[in-house]
Amino acid sequence: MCFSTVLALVVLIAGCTINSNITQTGGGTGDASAATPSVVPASTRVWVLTPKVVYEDTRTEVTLDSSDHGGPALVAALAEQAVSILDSKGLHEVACPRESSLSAEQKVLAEQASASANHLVRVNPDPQAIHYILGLASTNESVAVLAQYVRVKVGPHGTWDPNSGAITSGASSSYFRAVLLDAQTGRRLWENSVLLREVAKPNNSNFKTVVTLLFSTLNLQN
Amino acid sequence: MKKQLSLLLSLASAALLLTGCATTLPQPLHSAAGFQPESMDAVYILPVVDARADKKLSLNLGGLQRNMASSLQQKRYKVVVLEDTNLVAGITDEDLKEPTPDWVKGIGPSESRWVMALAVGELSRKITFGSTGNAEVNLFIFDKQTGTLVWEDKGLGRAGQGGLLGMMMVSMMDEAAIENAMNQVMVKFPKKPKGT
Repeated sequence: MCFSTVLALVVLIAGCTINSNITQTGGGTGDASAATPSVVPASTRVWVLTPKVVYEDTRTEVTLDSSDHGGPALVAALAEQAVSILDSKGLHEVACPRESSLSAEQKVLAEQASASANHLVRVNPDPQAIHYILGLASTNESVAVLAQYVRVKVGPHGTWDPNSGAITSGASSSYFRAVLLDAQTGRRLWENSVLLREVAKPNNSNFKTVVTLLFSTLNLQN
Repeated sequence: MKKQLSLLLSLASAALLLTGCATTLPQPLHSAAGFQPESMDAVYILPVVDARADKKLSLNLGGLQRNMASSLQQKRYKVVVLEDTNLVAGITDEDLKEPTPDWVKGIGPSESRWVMALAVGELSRKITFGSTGNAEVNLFIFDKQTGTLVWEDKGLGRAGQGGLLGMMMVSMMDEAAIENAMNQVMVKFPKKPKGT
C-alpha cells in the first residue's frame, strides 16, 4: 500500500514534466539572429495581417470547414491579441491593414499576403508571398508585417477500454507560427512558434497563454 | 428441381466465401494514377526526416529507417538504405508535402529513381492515471524521372495503458505509438509478387 502510494507519487511527479499541452517550439529568432538578438525598433509601424487558420483531419489530412470548428472566432481573437500584445510591448503604430489608411491596391496586397501566411512562415518563404509584403512598404517610415499561421489538426478523442484497461489520449493539436517581416526587404526580423496539443479555442484559458508565449521572444529597441 | 436449387445455393455460398476471403489493401492518402508500388525496382530510402514541431522526446531515427527497410525487404522489395543525414538536411514537412519537380529531381543519389522518405510529424507521451503515447508518421515515395510525388500515406499511432502499471510504462508509450503508426502505413504497402 505504502510502496504503491510512493511509486504513484514518483511517477506523477515525473509525469508533470512531460504533461504540458503547450510547448514553445521556435527559437524566437530572425535571419540576423545568429549574430545579433532579434530586436525590432520601437518606431516601426506594424501591419498585422489577418491570421490564416487551417483545420484538417489528423488521420486523413483532409481540410475541414473552419466554421465548423470556430475558425472565424479564432482568427478574430488572434488578430486582436496580436495588436494588443504588440502595443503593450511598446510598438504603438500597430494596425490591421483593413482598418488603415493604405491604398485600395495595398489592401488587396495585404489580403493576398494573409492568404499566403502559410508560405510566409516557412524557412524558405515563397518569393510570390514576399512580393506581396514588399508592396506594403512605405518610403518615409520603417514598416514591418506580421503574418500568423495556425494549422489545427482535429483528431480522435482519448479513449478508455474498461475491459483491457487500455487508454489513449486525444490526437488534436494546433501549431501557431508567427513571423515579422521587414516590408522594405522581406527580411525576417523575428519568428516564433508554439504547439498546443488540443484544438485551439479563443475562450479556452490555454489560448491566451499560447499567444503570450508566442510573442514572448519579441524584443524592442528603443 | 431440389437438386438444382441445392447446387445453386452451394455455388452462391462458394462465391460469397471467396469474395469474403479476398483481401483488399486499405487505400493510401495519395497514389498517382497508374503508379503501382510493385513496379519499383530498387527503392532508395532516405534518412528519416524529423518534422516534429516539438523535438523534446528522443527519437531513434536510424532504427526507424532500418525497420522500414526490413519491412520492405520482407515484401520482396530491393532497398538501398541511405545513411548520410546530409541528404535530408534542411528538408521540411512542406517540401515533402508540396514538392516541386526540380526539388524531387534533386533528392537522393543521381542513379536513383524511386526515393522513399519517412517523416515523423509528432511524438508525445502523457501521464494521467496510466500513460499514453501518440505518434504521427508520413511515408512518401517520389519518382525522380517524372519529378512527382507518387505515393503518400500517414499513420496515426496511439498507445496507452491505465492504472499504476500503465504509469510505470510511460517511457515505452511513445515507442509503442510510433511502432503502431509505422505498422498502419506499411500494411498498405503491397507485397511484391515473387520473381519480379
